[in-house]
Amino acid sequence: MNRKVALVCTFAVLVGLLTGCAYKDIDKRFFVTSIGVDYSKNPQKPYHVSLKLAIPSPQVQPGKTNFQVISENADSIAEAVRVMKSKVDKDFDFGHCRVLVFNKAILRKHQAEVLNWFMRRRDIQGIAYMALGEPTAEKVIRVKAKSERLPSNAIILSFDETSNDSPYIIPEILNDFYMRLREEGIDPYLPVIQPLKDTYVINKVVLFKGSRLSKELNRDETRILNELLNTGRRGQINVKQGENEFFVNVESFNTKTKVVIPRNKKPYVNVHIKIDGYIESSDKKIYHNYELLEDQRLASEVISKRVKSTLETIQKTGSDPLGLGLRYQAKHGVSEKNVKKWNKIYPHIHFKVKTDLKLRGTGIMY
Amino acid sequence: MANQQKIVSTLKEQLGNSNDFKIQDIDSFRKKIVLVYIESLIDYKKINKDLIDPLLLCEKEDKYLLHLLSLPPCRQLKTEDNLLSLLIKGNLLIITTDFIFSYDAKKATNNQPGDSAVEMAVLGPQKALSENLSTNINLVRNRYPSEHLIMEQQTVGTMSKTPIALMYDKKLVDHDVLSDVKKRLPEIKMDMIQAIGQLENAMTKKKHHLFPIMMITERPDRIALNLSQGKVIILMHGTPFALIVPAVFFDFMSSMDDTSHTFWTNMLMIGIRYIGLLITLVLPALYIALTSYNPEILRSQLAATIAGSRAGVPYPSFFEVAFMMLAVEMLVESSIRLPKAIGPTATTVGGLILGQAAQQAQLVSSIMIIITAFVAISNFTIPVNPMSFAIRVARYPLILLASFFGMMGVVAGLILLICYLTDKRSFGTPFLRLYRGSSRRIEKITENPKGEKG
Repeated sequence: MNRKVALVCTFAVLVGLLTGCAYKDIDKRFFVTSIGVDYSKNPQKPYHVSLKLAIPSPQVQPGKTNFQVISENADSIAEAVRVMKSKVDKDFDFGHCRVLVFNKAILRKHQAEVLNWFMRRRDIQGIAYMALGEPTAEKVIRVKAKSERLPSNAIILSFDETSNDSPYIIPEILNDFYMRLREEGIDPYLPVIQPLKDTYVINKVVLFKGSRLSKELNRDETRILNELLNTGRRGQINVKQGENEFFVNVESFNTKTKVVIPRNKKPYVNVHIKIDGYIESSDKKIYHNYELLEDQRLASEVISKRVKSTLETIQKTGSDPLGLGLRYQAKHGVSEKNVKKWNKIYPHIHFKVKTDLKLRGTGIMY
Repeated sequence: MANQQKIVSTLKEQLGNSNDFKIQDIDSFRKKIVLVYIESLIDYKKINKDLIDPLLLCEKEDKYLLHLLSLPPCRQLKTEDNLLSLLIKGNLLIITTDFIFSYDAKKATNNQPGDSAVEMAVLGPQKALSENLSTNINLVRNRYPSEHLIMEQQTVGTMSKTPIALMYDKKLVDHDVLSDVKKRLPEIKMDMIQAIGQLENAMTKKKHHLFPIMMITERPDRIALNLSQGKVIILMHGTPFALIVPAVFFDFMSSMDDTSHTFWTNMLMIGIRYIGLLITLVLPALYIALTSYNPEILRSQLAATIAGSRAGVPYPSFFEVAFMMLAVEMLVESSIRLPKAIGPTATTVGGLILGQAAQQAQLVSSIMIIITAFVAISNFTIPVNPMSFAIRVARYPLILLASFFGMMGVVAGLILLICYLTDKRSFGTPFLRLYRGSSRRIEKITENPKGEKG
C-alpha cells in the first residue's frame, strides 16, 4: 500500500516535468469572417482570394471593429489559403465564416471549381451567405461599416431577416445555392453588394441560367422577385396612375404560384397574390370608403401588371429562380424527356397574375 | 453483609483511580445501603427525588424496596449482570445486603432540538433533530403517530457502543431493504462510530463510491415523510442527523419546501434546481471544449469576445479552469469551517478581490470569472448537501475528458455518468428510479400500500 502511494507520487512529479503539446485555444486562431474570390486576370493563377480576419477585442463597441484583409493569387482556393497561412501568426479558423463574396469574372470562368472548395470544407457552414461583389469581391470585403461591432457583422445583419426586412435584399445561403445549382428546374441567384464609403448597398440580384451567370435584375424587379419567393420581407408598394400616387404599406404578402397545363390548350402559370396593408401616404384625400375601394382596385391592377412584366423579363433570360420547372416535374414526373419538354414550354409560357389587395384603412389619422 | 462489601471492593478495584467514581454509604433501617455511581454521568436531582427523599420518608425496608421496584427505570439485578458496564452507561447501583438494584439516572445531555441549520426550509418546520436518541425518537413518534411504527434499538461500534435506533412502518416498509439493513448492521467492524456519515460509509459495501446511496437528514418532517414512503430510518445517539434507506437520485433533488409551494412555483423551483445541476456539472468542461476545440458552436459575437478576453492569458484554457476551480473549492472549503466572525471576510477577499485581481492580472479571462461564479452558485441549488458535494467531484472527470477530447469528451463523459448512475443500486433500489412528487405519493400509499404487495 505504501509502495503504491510512493509510486503514484513519483509519477505525478515526473509527469509535471514532461513536455507536451500546447492547445490550439480560441485565442490562437484567426477567425476568418468573410472570404472574397476574384478573378486575377492571370490565367496561370486565376484565383485572387481575400480573407477578412477578425482581430478580437474584449470590449465590443460599435464602429470599433478591427480586422485585417490579406489576399493572394493562386491556381486554386486551397492553394491560396495554404500560401496565406505563412503571412499571418495564427492558424485560420473558418468556423465563423458567414459571408462568401465572388466577383462576376470568376463565376463566369471557374464557377464549378470555386464552389467545390466551399462545399467540401467541413468548417465552412452551409448557412454562410453568398453574394456577388461589384466591382470586386475584395472591395466589398474591405468595407469598414461605421455601425459594425464585429468584422463582417453588418453584412450578416443585413441578410438576416430578423434585423433587416428590406424587400430589396434577397439572401442566399451556400446550401440553397448548391441545391439550386444541381437541381434541374430551379436556378440560383445571388444578391449583389456594392461598396460605398462607410457602408455598402444591396439592392440588386443577379440570375443564373443553369450554372451560367445571366442577367442582373434592377431594384424594382428584385423586390418583386423577393415577394414572389415568399421570403417574408415586406415593404411599401407605390402605385402611380396618372395624377394619383399613393403608397401601400404591406402587412402581409402571400403568393401562390401554380403551373397549369390544360389539355389541348396552351400551358400557363397562375400567380395569385394576396396582400394585406394600409395606405401610408397619398396625394389624394380619401373621404369615403368607395374611394378606398377604388384605390384598392387600382393598386391591384398596377401590381398585377408589374409582377407580370417582371416575370416576363425573367422568362426572357431563360432563368427560373422560382422553380417553375420543379413544379412541372412534381406533376409530370422526373425524366429527361420531361425536362426537355419543360425547357421547350418555358420560353413561351403565359403568366396569369391575379392580385387580391386588401386595404385595411388609410392609416391612423387624426 | 460480606457479599455487599465484596462487591463494593471489586468495583473499587476496577474503577478506583477515577475521581468521579463515588461510593456513598447510607445507614438506615439498621442496615447499610451503598450507592455506587459515576458522578459525571448522573442526574443529581433525579436521585434526590426518586431515591433519597423516599428513603427518609419510609419507615420500613420492605416499603422502600417496593418503592424502588415501582420506579420505571429501576430494576433488580441478577448475578450474571455486568455491573461495570451498567455503571458506565449511567446507572446508579443500589447495593443492599440482599439485593442489587440498578437505577437509570443518566443525565440527559443535548436533548434540545436546535434550529435546522443544514437543510433549511423557508415555510416548513424549523426545528431539527437533537443529539439525544430518546428525544429524537420522541420527535419522530410525535410526527408519525402510527401504531405500525416499529423502533428497534441496537448498538454499533466495538468500542463506542453507540446506541442506534431503527425505525420503520411495518405495513409500508420494503422488507427486502429492511432485512438487508439488519444484515449489514452487525457486519460493521469499526471501533469508534460517532457520526452518521461514518455509519453510512461502513454500511456501503463498495469502498470507492461517489454518490451517496443513503440520505442524511436533520429534519424530523423529512423522516416522517420518508417513513410514510416505506423507508427505513436509522437514528444515532449523539448526532442530530438520521439516515434514510434507500435513497434514489431524485430524493436528493427534493427539498422539504416542495410540499408547501403552489404548483407552478414548485415547477419553477424544481426546474431551477435541475438546470443548476446541469450547469455546475457541465459548464467548466464546456468552456474548455468550446474555447479549445469547437469554437464554431458559439455565435460569432461571443467567440470574438471570448477570444479577445483570452488573448492576454498565457496559459491554455485547461489551466485557467483548473486554477479558478481550485480557488472556488478552497473558498467553499475554508468558509465551511471558519468561525462565523471571520467567514464574511474570507469570502470577500476570496471571491471579490481574488476574482477581480486574477482577471486584471490577465491570469484568467473575464468570461472564466463569470463561469466560476455561475458554477459555484448553481452548485448550492442542490438541496441535499452530500449530493451537492458529489456533484462537485463529478465535474472534474468531465473537465479532464473535455481537455483531451473536446465536445465529444463532454458528451461521452455525460453518457458514462448516466451509465454509472443507472448501474448503481441503493439497497436493491435502482438509483435512477423515477419518483413522483412526495405529497402525491402519500395519497397513493393509502390507496395501494407497498407492504401488502410484499
